Amino acid sequence: MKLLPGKVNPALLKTFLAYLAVSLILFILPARFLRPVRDVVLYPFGIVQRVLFAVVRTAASAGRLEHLWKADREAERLRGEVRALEAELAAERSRRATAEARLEQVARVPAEIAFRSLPAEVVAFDPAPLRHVALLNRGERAGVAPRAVVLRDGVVVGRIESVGPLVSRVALTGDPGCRVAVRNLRTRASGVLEGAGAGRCIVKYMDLTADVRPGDRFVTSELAASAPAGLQAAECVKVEDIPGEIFRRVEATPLFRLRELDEVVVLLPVADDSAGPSERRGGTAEAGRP
Amino acid sequence: MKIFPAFLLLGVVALAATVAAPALVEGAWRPDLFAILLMYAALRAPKRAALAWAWAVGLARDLSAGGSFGVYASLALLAAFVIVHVRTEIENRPLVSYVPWVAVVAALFGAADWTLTIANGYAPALAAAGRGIALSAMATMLASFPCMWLLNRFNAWLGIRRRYRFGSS
Repeated sequence: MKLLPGKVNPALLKTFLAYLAVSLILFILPARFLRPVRDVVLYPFGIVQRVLFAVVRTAASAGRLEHLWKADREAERLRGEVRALEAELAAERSRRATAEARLEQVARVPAEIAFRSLPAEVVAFDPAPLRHVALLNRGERAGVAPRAVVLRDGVVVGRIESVGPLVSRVALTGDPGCRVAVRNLRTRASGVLEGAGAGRCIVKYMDLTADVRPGDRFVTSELAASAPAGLQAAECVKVEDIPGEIFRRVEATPLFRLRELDEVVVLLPVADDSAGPSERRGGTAEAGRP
Repeated sequence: MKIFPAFLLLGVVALAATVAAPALVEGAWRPDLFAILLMYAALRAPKRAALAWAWAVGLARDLSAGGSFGVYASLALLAAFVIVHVRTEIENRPLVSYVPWVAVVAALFGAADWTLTIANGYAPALAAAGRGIALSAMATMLASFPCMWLLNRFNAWLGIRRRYRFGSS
């Protein structure tokens, strides 16, 4: 195949060289000479270019409108899903917090005591100002027995006053119906912690010779049959010797805050025959539930 | 060579190359419409008119590129000078025989593009130059079929004289 003829047409070569010369001249000319030419040539071209660009851009974006509509619907659907999932997550968090609080209460009970722990939830308080009574959501069917000690964070908060099939009433420390045998943690002086109403307590039967002073902690003593010994119950706030009395007047304050009382643990004696075996098993099984 | 249709055609090609193609085609897959027009003129016009067309196409590309005048004009002129010498051989072969020449011209323009880009100080372009030139040449080859068909349709009005029929022996 002969691609290039041997002889080049002289006229064609002259034309080629002439155009090439003009191109080279244009190339080496300074920009200040060529810029006006370029501006003049490109001015109408620029107007048409802008109009055409707007048309092309509009045409190109028209195809994206459908995608935008679809994306908008998809985004709305996803927002709905996110709202539903957030609500579900909030409910799950609440359930988890409740379960963790119960587990924490059970974990705070000393392991060496011969009592079984039954988690319970405080569902109501007695509105009477002088009473300090709460209602628990565990009753006789869960194995709750009268006079059982109720704990919160390892601290005695009261004793079961009465038991119904599904709920039970607890007389909190500070209620006149709550009495617990206690001992001074520092000096081993013993007495009986009794509610004085409106959340205040007094420790009865403290000898005049007993060493007790404000700041001392009172713990349950071995004399309390339905409670293990050594559980913190109250703190001494005032000691007074009244002339003519044979005991000292010791005022104390409970170690829990009433407003924070939500999850508690009921201590039930293992050998307690007041609840049947099946009921005790039921109570234990319920203890693990959130 | 009709002056008004020639200017109009160059303007349309320049608008298509600078406005429509960038908006519709992604990056390196953009066909070089100037190269297609140059190839068509070099194959179909009389030899001296082909050189004039090539120079005008190169100048239009110089204008639309915004760089120095004369760079693409010289390249287009050189390409057209070679093509007008071998076009008898091309025209005696099947229609697709011109397609590699379109790719060669597109690659020539592409190489000039990248050279100017790198010479202007954008050194990172060197890494993408080979791929960019190859893709542009391929896209130009593909686009040359409909473009050549369109130019054939409007040839009588455009005044690019028909001397041979593509694919005829």
